[in-house]
Amino acid sequence: MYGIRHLHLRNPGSWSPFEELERLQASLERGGVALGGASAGPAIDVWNEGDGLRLRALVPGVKPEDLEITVEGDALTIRGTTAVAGPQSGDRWLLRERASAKFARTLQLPFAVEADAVKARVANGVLEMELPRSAAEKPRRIPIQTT
Amino acid sequence: MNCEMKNGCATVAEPTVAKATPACDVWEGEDGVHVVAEMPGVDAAAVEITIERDVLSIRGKACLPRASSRAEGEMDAVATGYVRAFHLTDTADAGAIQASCKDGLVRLLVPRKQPAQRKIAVSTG
Repeated sequence: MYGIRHLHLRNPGSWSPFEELERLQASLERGGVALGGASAGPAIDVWNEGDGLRLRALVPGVKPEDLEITVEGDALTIRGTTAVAGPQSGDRWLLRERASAKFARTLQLPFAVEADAVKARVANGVLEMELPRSAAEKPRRIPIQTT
Repeated sequence: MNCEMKNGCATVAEPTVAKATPACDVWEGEDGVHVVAEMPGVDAAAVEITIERDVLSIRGKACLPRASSRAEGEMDAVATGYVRAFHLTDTADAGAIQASCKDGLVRLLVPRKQPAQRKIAVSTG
């Protein structure tokens, strides 16, 4: 027999029998959007930073040209295609966990962002974005008139 | 060829770093066995591949941007490291493994050992 067999390495003290169910529930609550066979999309972190938001999404193997990001007000949509290079003709699958699929995910942001000032870059399979708050939504000081 | 899953076989315990099990594709070709592991946030310098007896381990430490305070926000990308291990069979050439890392994917080629050829002298008489 030639080849390799894979092991699951797991910290024995950290496993919960409900772990998988909780992960599935979290995935559903995440608000993934399935479009025409698309999967729910990448794992995403979003947090407040300064005057706007920072985002990172895990997109291993996705090339920048295969990503499409759109912003409309407070709705951010990330679409992409995971191209999985697999076996050539005559080769044989031994384990297949990665999926070659289109994905789309829409996030409702806590405020509208300045679409023209949004920055995005991909490095080592991680999409990083800076989403500055729209000027129209920034807190304004109201001058008080004296009579 | 066998690709056998061994659930619960915990041989590596590193409780100080949160580790995720990366999704992997494995296939057998003419040149050997190919492995592709998803390790987003990991660059080539942060990948460690080790062989101990017949266990090939792939570890990666992710370098991900994070906020100084992340109390507010939606968070579901939590992995800071990855680890995955495979059993090598006797016919795998562990000394000739090739590895690369690009776009958050670690790729390995485990070549097949060339069969050792020995000429047997035939004596007469």
